[in-house]
Formats: sequence, C-alpha cells, structure tokens
Amino acid sequence: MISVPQSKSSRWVIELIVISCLVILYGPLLYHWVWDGWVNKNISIQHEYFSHGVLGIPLAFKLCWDKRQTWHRLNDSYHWSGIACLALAFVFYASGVMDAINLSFPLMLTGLLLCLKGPAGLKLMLFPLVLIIFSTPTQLPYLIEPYILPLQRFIATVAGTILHGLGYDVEVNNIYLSMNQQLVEVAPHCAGLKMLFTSLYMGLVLTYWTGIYRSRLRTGIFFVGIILISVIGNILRNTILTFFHGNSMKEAFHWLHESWGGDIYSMIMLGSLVLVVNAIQSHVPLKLATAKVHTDGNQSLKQAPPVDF
Amino acid sequence: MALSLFSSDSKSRTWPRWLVVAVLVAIITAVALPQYVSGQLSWQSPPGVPQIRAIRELKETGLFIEGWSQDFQQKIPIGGSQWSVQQLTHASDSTPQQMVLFLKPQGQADDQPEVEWIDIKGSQKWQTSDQRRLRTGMLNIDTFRAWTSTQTFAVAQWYALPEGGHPAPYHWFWRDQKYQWSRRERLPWVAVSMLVPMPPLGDVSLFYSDLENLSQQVQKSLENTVFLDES
Repeated sequence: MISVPQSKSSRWVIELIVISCLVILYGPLLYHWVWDGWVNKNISIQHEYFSHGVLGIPLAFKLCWDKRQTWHRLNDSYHWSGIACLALAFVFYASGVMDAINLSFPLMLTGLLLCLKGPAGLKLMLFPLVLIIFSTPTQLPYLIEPYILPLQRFIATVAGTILHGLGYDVEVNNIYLSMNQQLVEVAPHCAGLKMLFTSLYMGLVLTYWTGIYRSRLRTGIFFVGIILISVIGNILRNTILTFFHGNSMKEAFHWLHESWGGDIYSMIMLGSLVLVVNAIQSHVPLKLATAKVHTDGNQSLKQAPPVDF
Repeated sequence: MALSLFSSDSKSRTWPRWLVVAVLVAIITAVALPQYVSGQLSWQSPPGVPQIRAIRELKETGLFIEGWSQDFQQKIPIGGSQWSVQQLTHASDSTPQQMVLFLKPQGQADDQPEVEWIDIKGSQKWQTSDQRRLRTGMLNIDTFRAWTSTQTFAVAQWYALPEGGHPAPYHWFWRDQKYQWSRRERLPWVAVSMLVPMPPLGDVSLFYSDLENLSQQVQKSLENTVFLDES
C-alpha cells in the first residue's frame, strides 16, 4: 500500500470503499437471486421471469469495468436526487419486504452514480444500469398476467385450429385445450410471457451491441419482430404440447415443458433474434426518407459520433 | 489517506462523497451485519400467514354460516388445486332457500390469487352473461348469470380478505404489500364463488340484493372464523 504512489491509490479510494460496501450489502442477495432463484428455481415463478439476469448482470458489470477510464475523467459532482435515492434505498433495504429489498439495489446504484459524478455519471453508466433494473426481480409479471388473457385465448384458439386442421379432435374452451379427454391450460407463463421478457431483454442487449439503436426505424422493426417471433413460437410450442398431452406422450410432454427440450426451444428463439438483427442490418434502411439515397445514409452513419449510453 | 484527499480537493466538493460512504457504512452496521451475524436473512425467512392452518382447514370442513345448515360438503380438484364445495340451506323460510359455495383457500403463505375465476368457469362448463361489479360496504363482488345445460345460477365472486374483499388480484396485491410493510405478515385470502339457483333465462338483476346480503354473510363468517388473528 505504501509503495503505491499517493495519487494512484487515492484516485480510486472512494470507488474501492463503495464497491466493498456494495459487495457486503448485496453479495448475499445476488447469490440468492442467481443460485436459489434462477439456477435452482426455488423462489417463485415471478422471480424466474427475470432469469435473463444470469447473463445481464455480469454483462452490466463488464460494461462498467470497460468504462472505468471515462468514469475517472468525469468531474466529481453530485446531484441532490442522488441523496434522495440513497435514503429511499436505505428504507427499502431495511424494510424486510422482499420486493423492496430487491428494488433497493438499482436505487442504491442510481444514488451512488448521482452522488459521485452527478448526472454525467448516470448518463455514462445508463445502459449497464438499465440492464440491472430490468433484471431486478419484482412482482411486475404478477400484475401484468391478468391483462394477457386475450393473448392466452388467441394462442389456445390458433393452436386448436392447427390441430383441428391436422385432423385431430380438439376442443377449445377459453384458455383450455382438450384432446382425447386430456386438458391443457395455456397459463400466462406458458403463453410465453416469460419468453417474451427474455427476448425483449436480449433484444435490448443486441440493439446496443450492434448499434442499431441509432436508427429508430431499425429498432422499431426489431422489437415488433421480437414480439411476433415470441407469439408465433408460443403458438407452435402450445400446439406441440397439446399434441403430446392429448396422445398421452407423457415423457415427450415433460421433455418440452420442463426439461431440456424447453431450453432448446429457448435457444432457437434467441438464435432467431440474432438472425433477425442481421437481416435488419442488411435489408432495412436507417431512415425511410433516405431509402432512395442510400449512400447518404451510409455516410451519416459513419459521421455520427458514437453515442454513449 | 483521507487527509490527503481533503487537502487535494476543496472540502465543499468532497463532502457528498464521504456522505455516501457514511450512508453505506450505516446500512451495513444497522441492517446487514445484525442479519448476517444472527443468520436471519430477511430473504430466507419471508413473512408468513399466522392463520394459515385455519384457512387451509376450510378445504376439509367448508364454512359454517350462522342460520344456514349444510346439505353436503366435499373437497374437489379444480384447475390443479383443491377447492371446497358445499351446499347450504337456510333454516327459516325466507328466500333464497339454497346456495352453493365454492371456496379456494390459500394453501401456503406465498400462494397468490391468480386465475381462480377462469378455473371455476372452465371446470363447471358455465356459459355466462350479464357481468357486473357490485359494491356493498368494504366488499366488491363480480356478479353474473351462469348456466349449464341443466341449471342456471346467479353468481357472486370475490377474493375474501380480512376487512373486505375484491374480485381483482391486483387489489389483493397492493393490500398485501401494505400488510407486509406494516405488520411483516402476508395477507390471507380465500377465493369465494357463491351460487344462488335462479330460473333459466331469468333476470339476474332481481337477485342483486340477495347476492349482496349473502356475500356479506359469507364474508362476515370468514372474518369471524379463519381470518381471526389470535396473536
């Protein structure tokens, strides 16, 4: 410690203290999120909706690390709202209420950014912070679920129609499909709300990664594509599940529903997102107006300064 | 080290940075460390429902309602969980004479109201019409006419909670959050679907006052038995 030049060791002293404190406060909580909740699936279905955090949180940390030199060049300043965030995070952390404890993590981070470097610090770390906010488990899916009932009905109806078209005797009642006296319920999480959450999150990462967020048109098309893919994917998945269940193929049903068949399905879904992003990059113009003058569009892309999130 | 920092920077600019450290150290010493030392992590010991045994017992016994006698009671599976179904007859000769009560009490402290209304509609193969939400005192109920090929009912549905009830899961959710903050307990609930026989193609609005009175009675009976907090 003594041999390190004064300027270098004191340069990061606040950051080091803050990070150590964060590890003490949130290390065990993040372990609980990841190990108990996402790997062993022991907390709740609502918690599992945020399992994309397994990738998102490490990615956020990596992006922060990459920005450390820029962070250091920022002037020290603070914004009063940072102190408000910290105070609220304190109350939430001490409340003992699970959702509040979870939410205190992004609140604390926002408060720290605002107190150490002010709004400029928040702006610099905005994207990693957004990744963490969207990975923070809350009861939000529980509140959304009642509103996707029409989607569940739609998926049940289309899956029923497909099976009917293939010559099977299927009955559709609301969100239930029955085939050979076997009942399948298109539950909210089965209707792909979880997969939609994951797809949108991965879409967010891909938009940042490929830089297509610079074009509103491309971003818009991409997100519409994500929603379409996850709805179509789910219709197919529910059709196949009903088929397995109706024909008493218990092992096959279990394989696709809970076992690694489901993981393969997820991989195909996420893989198709990458294909869509590639297709958008090569086929969709940056703007509708510049579609005719393609060269201009390309030039403006090169000239545009890289926007830092 | 701290000294060197203060001398290199002006004090007015560094105080928020040290305030940040002070806040973090305060949370660690006041909240985190006591939990770690005692091994009582708040996320590993979530709050419970003190009355959970009595509530769960409803599946086996059904609900006793003052002035009503029970014709039969049974535990039946609906939508992957257990419900209690019971038929009750009023002792005196006032109308209505009979009702059927479907109850789904929460099984564990972390059970949440979800798709109970769809489950029961699907399992009973009801056709429904004339949906309307009524409000009587602290109680909100969804009412409608439900019919099968053989019978027609006027139905009232709600999630019964201590001090009131509401058919929407979000209502339970926000009251549960409040409960967790103020009492460190989860809010108990029982899904109630109450059926009163009515003539086929009859006007369900003629039964609104009956449904309101009866739902009040059921709610009161729940509040005076299973929701009673002995502690």
